[in-house]
Amino acid sequence: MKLARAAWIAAALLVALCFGYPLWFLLVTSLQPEGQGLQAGGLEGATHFENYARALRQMGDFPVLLRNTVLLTLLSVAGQLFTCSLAGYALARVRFRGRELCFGLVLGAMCFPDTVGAIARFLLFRSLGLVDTYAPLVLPTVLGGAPLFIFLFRQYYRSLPEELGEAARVDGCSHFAIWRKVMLPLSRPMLVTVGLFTFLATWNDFWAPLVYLLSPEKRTLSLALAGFQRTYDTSVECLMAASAVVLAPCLLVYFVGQRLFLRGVRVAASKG
Amino acid sequence: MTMLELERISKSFGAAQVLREVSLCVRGGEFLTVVGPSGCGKSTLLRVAAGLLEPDSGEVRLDGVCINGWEPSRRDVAMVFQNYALYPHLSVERNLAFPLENARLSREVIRARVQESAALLGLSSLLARKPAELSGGQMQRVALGRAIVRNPRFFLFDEPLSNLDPRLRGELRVEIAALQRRLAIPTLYVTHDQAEALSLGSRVCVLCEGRVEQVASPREVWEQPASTRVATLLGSPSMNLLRLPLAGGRAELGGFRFEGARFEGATEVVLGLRPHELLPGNDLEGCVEWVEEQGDRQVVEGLFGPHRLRLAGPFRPGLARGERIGIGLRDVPCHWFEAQTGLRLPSEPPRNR
Repeated sequence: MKLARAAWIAAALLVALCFGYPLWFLLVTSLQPEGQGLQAGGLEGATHFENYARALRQMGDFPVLLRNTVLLTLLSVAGQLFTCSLAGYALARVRFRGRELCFGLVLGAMCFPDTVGAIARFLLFRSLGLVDTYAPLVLPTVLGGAPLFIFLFRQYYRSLPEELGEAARVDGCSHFAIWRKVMLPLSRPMLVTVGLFTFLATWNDFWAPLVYLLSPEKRTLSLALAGFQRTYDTSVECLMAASAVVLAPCLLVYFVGQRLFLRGVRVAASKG
Repeated sequence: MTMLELERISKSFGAAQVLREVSLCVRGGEFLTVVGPSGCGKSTLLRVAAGLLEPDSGEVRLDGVCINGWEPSRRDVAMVFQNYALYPHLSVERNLAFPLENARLSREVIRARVQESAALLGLSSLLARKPAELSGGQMQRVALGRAIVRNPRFFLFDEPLSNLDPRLRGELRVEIAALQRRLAIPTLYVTHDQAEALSLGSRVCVLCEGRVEQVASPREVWEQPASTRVATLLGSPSMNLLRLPLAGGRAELGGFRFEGARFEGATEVVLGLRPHELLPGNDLEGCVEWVEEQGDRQVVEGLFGPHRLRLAGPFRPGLARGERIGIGLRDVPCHWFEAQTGLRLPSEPPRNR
């Protein structure tokens, strides 16, 4: 028994090391003097906090970048939660002709990697004249571009007793009111889970902003990060410092939401 | 006085026909219980009345007005569910207020009506609690409160007591009956528990395989079951059914001869005998196969010639398997049914033999 426990702890430590070391490496490197290059992870010389100021300066207009990214992320999270839960409710509990077909299409869409539709999507947004706006970044998520999340919400709503919706209908609710007054408040674990996933995905998204955003004043943090990597004179310590700054909100949000998040994953796992 | 009518309601789900031309009428202030085995369509019937399901054919009428296609809220109906269906995220007070809020009543009116219903059901001290902090009995009381708070035109109950333990079930049964009598709102009450159906209903509807078998007063349903299906559904242990061949228009059992105009043209009839009415005697001898002690009585299964009979009553203490036992048939109420259809044969005035 004791041995098994020790082995378990050892394994956990090993995994923690695998995830923790890159973070440690990032922080230590970000504090090195200029031109030191990559460091294996010793603490000596790691005192150059001015790297952070330099990194922020080099990224361009940091407040604008931050504002753009936050705006984009909030819009995506809000839109994603709204449409995925609404669609999930409809697929779970509203009786309409073609519902199973719709659900089949959603499931089918899960099989396509995002990149398959990338070119078609780009052509579509170009013909709509929406390149170099936030629309191509926000619209796909707001319009339910995440079949997996729709599926998760549907399964979750299916797991709630059907009588709950029936009672609300008898008590005078329309389907929309049932969703808003009963289903949504009950799906907090799912909202946190999907919200976190969407937050991380949007915050860290590099590819879509790279393709669609052209004007400098519309750029996001991840684009600015990429600007550090140059062919001849990549300033490693600045790249790491900037990365640390960009990473910080993710870690913060994740740890704050972790307890709820884990509960949500458990729910999703047991209902999925 | 409100009157709820269901006329020739049929409903299928895919290939399964759940309701077959069911007609029912709940008159003003009446308490109509619907009883049947599970899967007989009683919950579907209730959902059709509520407007949660649309019937494939047939009409639902409220005071003579066809209300097919009306949303439940427009029908002004309240429903109580087996699993209570309380909103878990709302306090008891908000649960009670929920239907009133949806009806956009003013805050003062809502508060007054919630207080009133809570007081009526003894919930006043629980108003701040969440459903998860309540016992099963309290939860069902809140569900009742949510139903009466709106003063609806009719009530629907879907096995509201099935999830409660037997003692609580008895208590709430009395409470529901008193509440309904006081409010005088027509009520359709679905249950699979025959005791509930007989004790609560001013009339009882027996539903089997989506068909109405009988609608009558509890006494009549008990004393004159319309078919073998009704007869075996009500009563525990259920009624003994004996197939008796007719020879020359006569059936024989244990030296007794039965005959009459109602047997005319048949070659076989079914005789129904309630287990608790078969008392010790000398008319029919048999052998005990199995005894179940139930404290105040025993349930005995025995083989009497070709017939297997269940008896329920105080027999000799220590009665055991393999022993001989005799029962009396004189003055035992006999129920006669047609052998093929299972329908009750008309009663006849007794005649001298």
